[in-house]
Amino acid sequence: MSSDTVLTWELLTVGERLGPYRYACTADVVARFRDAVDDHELEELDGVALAPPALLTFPFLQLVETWYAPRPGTVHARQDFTLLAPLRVGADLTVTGVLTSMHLRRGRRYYEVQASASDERGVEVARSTTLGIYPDVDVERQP
Amino acid sequence: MTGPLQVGAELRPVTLTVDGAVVAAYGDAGRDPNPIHFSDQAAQALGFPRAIAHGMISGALLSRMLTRNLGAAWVTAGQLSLRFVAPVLVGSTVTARGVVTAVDPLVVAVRAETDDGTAVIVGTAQL
Repeated sequence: MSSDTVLTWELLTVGERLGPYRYACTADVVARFRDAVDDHELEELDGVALAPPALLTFPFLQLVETWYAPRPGTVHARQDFTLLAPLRVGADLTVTGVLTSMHLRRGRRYYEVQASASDERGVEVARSTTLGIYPDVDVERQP
Repeated sequence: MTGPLQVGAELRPVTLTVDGAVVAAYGDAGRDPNPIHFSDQAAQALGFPRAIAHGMISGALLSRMLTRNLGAAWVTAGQLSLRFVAPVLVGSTVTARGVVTAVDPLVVAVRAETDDGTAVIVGTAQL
């Protein structure tokens, strides 16, 4: 699958494996994330520059979006993180996942992706479970 | 924390006004072009009154509150489970709160809410 393929409900297949997706946790991205959400907590630990854990949202969502072009209108319903190691500025993450569920509830279409991110040393940094709501109507993509 | 680490203790809250600049900066950092965050028209097509913020902006605010209160332990071994229960309209002010519900292991009930007290995220954090 390529990112030229717009995500459609029909394309999703439970059990499909996503990734590996490479994500560079650069100083620039970390600085922009911290400024965006005004998070300047614990910028360093034992002399190592850290990123806020919530930045992990980006590689975990982009894992799906490298498989399918982002589906306009998809929204977050649930997000679980298990943090296993501090996220270092400069870490090169490899993210893999699997589409674990598709279901209907109250007329809405949900899909769930479970994923894991490890750094360049092979240290598992975090696990994620994301539940998304797939839109019922088409929304025009931005240019 | 506003008190000792015991059941019922409240974590120090954090607040952020999620205006258009915040949404634009977050979307740019995350390479997220979903038009429902930037276009009132796109959001209205899905039944929202106007553009809505990325849900994980409020999630990031909760994580920031947990880091502020729990420090290195949080970023090293925290577990966070969030349920998005209402959209955040762009321009809203969101406050992240937490209350300790157990201490061994530590469990915190977390909640992000808008100025009128409406919950936008509810969940739990554990250490």
